[in-house]
Amino acid sequence: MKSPSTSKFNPEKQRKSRSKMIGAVIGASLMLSGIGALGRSQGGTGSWLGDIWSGGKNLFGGIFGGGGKGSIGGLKRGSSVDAVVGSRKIASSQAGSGGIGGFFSNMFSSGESMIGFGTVLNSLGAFFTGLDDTGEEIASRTLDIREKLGTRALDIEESLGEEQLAINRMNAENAIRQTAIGSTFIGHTNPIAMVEGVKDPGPGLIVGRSPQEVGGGAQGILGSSSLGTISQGTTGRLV
Amino acid sequence: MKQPARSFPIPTPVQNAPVEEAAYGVEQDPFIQATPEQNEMVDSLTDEIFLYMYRDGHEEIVEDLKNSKDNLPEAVGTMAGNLVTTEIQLLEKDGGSFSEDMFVEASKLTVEQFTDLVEDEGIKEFRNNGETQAFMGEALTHAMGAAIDSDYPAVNEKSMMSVAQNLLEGDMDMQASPVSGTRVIEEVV
Repeated sequence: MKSPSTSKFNPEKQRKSRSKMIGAVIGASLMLSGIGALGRSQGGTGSWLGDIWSGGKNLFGGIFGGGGKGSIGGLKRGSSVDAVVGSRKIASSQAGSGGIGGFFSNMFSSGESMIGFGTVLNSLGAFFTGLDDTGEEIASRTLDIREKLGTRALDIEESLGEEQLAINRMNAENAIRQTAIGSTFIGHTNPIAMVEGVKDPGPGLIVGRSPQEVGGGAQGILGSSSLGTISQGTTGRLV
Repeated sequence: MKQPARSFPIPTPVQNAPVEEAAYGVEQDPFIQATPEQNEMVDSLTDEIFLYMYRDGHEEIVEDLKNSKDNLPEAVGTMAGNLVTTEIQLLEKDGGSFSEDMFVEASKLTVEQFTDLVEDEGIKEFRNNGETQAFMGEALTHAMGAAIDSDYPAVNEKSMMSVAQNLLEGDMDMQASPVSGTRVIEEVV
């Protein structure tokens, strides 16, 4: 049976949900997602939480010279929000039992009335390193963190670019190959189709002496001194 | 691997709004920097999602959420991420378009709506605003993970890292938000 509320649903009103995420929470969530993306781009662990953990260890471990000792793989599911409520400090063992829910809970357990991005970074540092007070260090190393993320993003872009170039090249060669298959040149495979996968067409009909250079010379075959030569020699055709 | 996509901006959240304003949603428009067309685009997309949540897919969603009580933020986030990316792809398949700049915003709104739903259905009781915020933050993180896993090309590892970079660069207003006072008083739907 459907909930009574469904029959009264009004998108215009429903759009205004009473639960509103505050900026620090959105920021923390996106930072964790960026860290997870970093972990995934470096091989991934097969799970999003695992990727967040490996990315975080990589990112913050490099900065603090160690990295977290806990393992997010051992998270106790379901206790994420409740487990660490009331605990201000997150040691690695607590991170292991609290998961990213524990991370978020920790942000709100300080008793502070305002939460800024500084709190987010401090909580991230504590979460991934197991250190209790990383605030100042994190704040002073923000650029390093950013650079590390940026370098990896650039690597991905570069590899995607190379991948795209290879795809473009394959598409072009395939188009040539298709043309070759669909046409002949004096009874032979069109020499223009001499790309990988197409048999070397070899010489075509030759009347007189075959020129040594075709296409490579400035005059080309029409300007050749070998008058009366009709040739399909392959030398220099693919230069 | 997904094709590269430019990074989407971080939605401007409720920042520094007086508690009364935040609580009642006055001047709370998260699209301060978005164009009216983008606002409309997000509303249109999320309306479809919310209709599904409260009508056709309601029973199934509630059932799934009840079965995921031990892992609720992940279940909510994954559902929200999947719903948003699927809806965008359906829209694009029908010839429509959705600005990828608005992806995080649409996901955020969907997570917020799910949070209302789990509370309304008695699946989860939030003891205070901090607990609600923690739940939504965790869910949004999982929504981003689901989006990276999806076929939606605009969200991938690179774009997600760029978002984090932008945050560190200061694209997001770093001023503190009030911990409390961000929940709207029970609304009659």
